[in-house]
Amino acid sequence: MTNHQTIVELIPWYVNGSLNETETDRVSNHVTECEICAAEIEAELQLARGMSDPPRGLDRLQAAELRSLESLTRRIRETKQKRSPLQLAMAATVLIAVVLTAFVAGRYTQEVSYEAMTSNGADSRPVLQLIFHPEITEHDLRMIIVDSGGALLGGPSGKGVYRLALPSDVDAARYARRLRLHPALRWVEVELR
Amino acid sequence: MPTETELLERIANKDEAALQELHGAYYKRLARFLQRMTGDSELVLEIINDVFLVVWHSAGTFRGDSHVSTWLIGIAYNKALKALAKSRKWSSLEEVTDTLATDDSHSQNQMDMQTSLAKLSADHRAVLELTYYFGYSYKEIAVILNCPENTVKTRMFYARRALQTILEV
Repeated sequence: MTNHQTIVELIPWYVNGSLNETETDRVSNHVTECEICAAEIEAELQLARGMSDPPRGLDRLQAAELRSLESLTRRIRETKQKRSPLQLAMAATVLIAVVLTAFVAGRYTQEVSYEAMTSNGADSRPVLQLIFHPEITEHDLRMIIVDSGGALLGGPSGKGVYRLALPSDVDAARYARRLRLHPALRWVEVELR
Repeated sequence: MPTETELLERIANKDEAALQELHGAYYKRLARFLQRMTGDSELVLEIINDVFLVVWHSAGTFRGDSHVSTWLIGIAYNKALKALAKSRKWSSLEEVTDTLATDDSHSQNQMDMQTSLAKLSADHRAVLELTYYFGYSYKEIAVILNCPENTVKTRMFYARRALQTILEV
């Protein structure tokens, strides 16, 4: 495969910021000499912005979250009730064996383990600082917050900065890179702690 | 706040509250990904249910060699492929069952993009969504789709070309 074709294939991940340093440098260096790839990057940025819009029908799905959870809970409880007499008998046998062993060994102790909370009790969620375009709609703002799975902590400040807390398992740097492509946002940075 | 791995450990011990917490953490993401893939919100609800049932029964098999998110989305992807194969909606969403026909807030460009994306195959839509919305690397997408990294790159290349062709018409 030619170098050019290799670079073309990497462009989407160059645009979403997930390439490693070596690959990023490779693409950057090639693009300075290749108008085709430079144009492709512009096209991919447009595509990325277009992909930030939700698929049709997502609003309806978001509203069905509770129904989904109730249905899941029901199915799990139905699964539990269907446990066969053999499984119940085996479970009972194991339980009796455990109790007898503990009794005979004379070492029936209950250990309680504690997991310490973070030492200062501080919120450990990553936080993004955002500045929106003045013409942002309430719908756009709401969808950005809902899509993030996080919560708006406050804003706007005197400089128009909002603070968005992300779920603690989200890679904030990567999420910020993606949000920077959103047309409603002028500025996105990860808040330093 | 428990980590996702800790939640899986609790789920492996049949902790329903942990499963509910994981459902809460992932529902929106899975809904978005699956709606992009299938365009059918009732099907999406069924698949999400199936995904978490798999998690309930096999949380103990998660070895931690991938992120919990890539594991879950991988399960969702496979479930969606099977569901689409059964309903024969693999090639394109000829009839998008969920429309926003009464929603006038979308610009013409947005409608063109949504309509164009619907004409792609489900696996093309999946790789586009995983890259541009979820921000995954091609290595992570290879884990999710359970295919070689070169396959991810090639699939994305053809997805982009197909979308370009559709948008130019």
